[in-house]
Amino acid sequence: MKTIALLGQPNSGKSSLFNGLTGSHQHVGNWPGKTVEHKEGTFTYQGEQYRVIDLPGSYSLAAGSEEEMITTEYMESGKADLVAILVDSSQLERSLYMFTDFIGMNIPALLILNLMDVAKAKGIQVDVDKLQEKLGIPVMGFVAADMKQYGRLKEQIASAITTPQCVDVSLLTKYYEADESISFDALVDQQESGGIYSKEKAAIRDLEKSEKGLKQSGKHKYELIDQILKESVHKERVENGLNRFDKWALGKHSGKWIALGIIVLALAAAMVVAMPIMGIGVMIPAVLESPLRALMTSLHVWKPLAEFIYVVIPNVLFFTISMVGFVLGVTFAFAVIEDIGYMARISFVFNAAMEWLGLQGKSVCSFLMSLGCNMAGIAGSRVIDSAGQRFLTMILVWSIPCGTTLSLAPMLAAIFFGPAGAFLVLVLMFVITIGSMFLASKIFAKQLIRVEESQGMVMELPPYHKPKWRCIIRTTLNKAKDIFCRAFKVILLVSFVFYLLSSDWMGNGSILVGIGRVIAPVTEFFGMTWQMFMAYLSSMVTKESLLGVINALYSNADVAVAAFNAKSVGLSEGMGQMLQEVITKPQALGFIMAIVFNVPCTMTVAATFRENHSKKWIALSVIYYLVFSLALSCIFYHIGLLIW
Amino acid sequence: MRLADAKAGYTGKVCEISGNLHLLSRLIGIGIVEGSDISVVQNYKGQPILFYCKDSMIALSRKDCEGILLEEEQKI
Repeated sequence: MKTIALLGQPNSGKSSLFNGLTGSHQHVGNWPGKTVEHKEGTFTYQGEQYRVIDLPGSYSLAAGSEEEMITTEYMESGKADLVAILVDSSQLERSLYMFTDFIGMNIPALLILNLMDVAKAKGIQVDVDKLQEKLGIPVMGFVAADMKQYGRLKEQIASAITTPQCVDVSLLTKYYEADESISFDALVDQQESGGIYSKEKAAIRDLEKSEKGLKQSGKHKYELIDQILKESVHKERVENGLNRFDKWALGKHSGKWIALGIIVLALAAAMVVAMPIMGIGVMIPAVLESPLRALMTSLHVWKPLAEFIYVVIPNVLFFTISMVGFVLGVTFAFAVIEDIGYMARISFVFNAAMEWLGLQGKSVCSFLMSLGCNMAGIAGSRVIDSAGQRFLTMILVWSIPCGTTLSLAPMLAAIFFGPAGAFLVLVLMFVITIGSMFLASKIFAKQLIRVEESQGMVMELPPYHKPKWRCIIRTTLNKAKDIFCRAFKVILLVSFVFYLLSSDWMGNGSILVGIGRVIAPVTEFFGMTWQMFMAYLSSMVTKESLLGVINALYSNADVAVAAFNAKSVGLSEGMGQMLQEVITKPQALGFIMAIVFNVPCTMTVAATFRENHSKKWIALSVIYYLVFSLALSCIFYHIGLLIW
Repeated sequence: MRLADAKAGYTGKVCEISGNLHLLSRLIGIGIVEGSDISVVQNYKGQPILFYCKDSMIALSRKDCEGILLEEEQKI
């Protein structure tokens, strides 16, 4: 099977071309040992199958970021039979840079001038034949959003593979040879031939190791671009300036308000998408429980096992589907924002605030999504292009109380401290969330973000595009399917373990209760009774299980069933009264802080692991949040003791 | 004049860029080399600077703009 590598700068329409080319025959994962997404797919043309590798988008082939390193390493591996270089026709002056950076590699190439429609609308005429003649490789104009053009693309790819053509390196080197400040010929003679790089390219790479050389080299590459474009591109007019919407959208204050407004709208749209799916999720336990229970009873299945099947499994399905519904909705809404080009504006206006956390503007979207569901925030971090900053964003997402926590905590607070108290607790939560994010950033940023990556914003603000629905829907569905499979497995496993521990096997209390009684003296130091501590632990599985567990432990009911039957986070009147009788105010205050800043639910942790594949950093993050939440609990409990 | 100090509407040619290798390669990758034409679109305190360069609108952090020197061509 022949392999085609897709190479292109961000915003060149690479992912939409990849989707159009491979359709549903694609596999999304991570590059081995890396936090960067690996996309691979296949397509068939005239009975022959071709493999397509979507290399991570970057502005050049310099090995600066993790993305660029992956791209460079892949090219050096020689696995690609053809490199298809994608450029934005409406911004050729800049986007051809990737092409000039590629010149000198001994891999056959095809140049795809994408977004020809946008170029035309901007009054830019590109003479494709002239360009092809100048460059000596096949060149084609293309519109990735137009499905009718893919037949022609496949044909071009196939013919570029059967008659491979490489770019003549002298096209570029003549500018280096003419430069008197560098002795290029001598540098070329020092190189050894062989491998993927021509001697000349190896010399250029050597040159670029010094600051002066890099600057000269960059200049020469753009000289070549200018020269190529002078003869093959005609521009009718030049537009420089902001359109009316951007004047507001990028304004100093108005920009933030517009961005917040659009994000709120996006979240609302996400809920519209998510609601029907979540509705199905809610129905599952109700629909499945009684038939399964009847089946188990008629088969005389051992009670604990029967309970596991008719209580735990339907509820696990319900949790997973509800979460996936929400994640799907949020992913969809934010994919639209990214696709139309607005995401870059959001990053721009929130850049200063995010820099304070060692991040970049794009992280703000993840954080806002997390207020609904942490898992959505984790999935949303994909838009962040620096691996280190993405990782840090995910860790900071864990600080943010999700929708469930945001409804549980004020409810508990209202029981103990009344409505005014609940409001104060909410304010306190907000302040501590900011503090927690800052603290976590201080602790983790240095290790996660390499010095080279911690630089300020260097970003292109792409022109606005019409959303490419087909591509967005395909990406969203693929992601949702992936999340569902993984989340279901993880949550089932964790639930099984929790069930084993919490079920009353011998009739004299579960393992959980046994352990709880033993560790009670320790947990009381943190301001928690052992029942509360067990509820705290169960909130790491799902936040929703919290009230059920605490209720069951205090009323000696079946903990396992109570924990999993937590369909609503509602609270019965009797329970509120009971809680006030068994839990003191200082304990309650400490407990609320503990559950709000506890490690997020298992699904979020699993989703984070799925994104970054680092056991070490997940473990460290879990430990950090455990320590942080217990410390908060301890502090607020002791403060509470002074007050009451 | 430093790009960091250029007001909106200022148009000029880049005459010097400075920074470490990583920053330089990022700048070059996005189109900023000696000789590039830049026209400043927006420069508010506390925000990255917005400018046109090689047909694209670029946002670049203030700190990095301090190392970019412009030679004035004409004022619009």
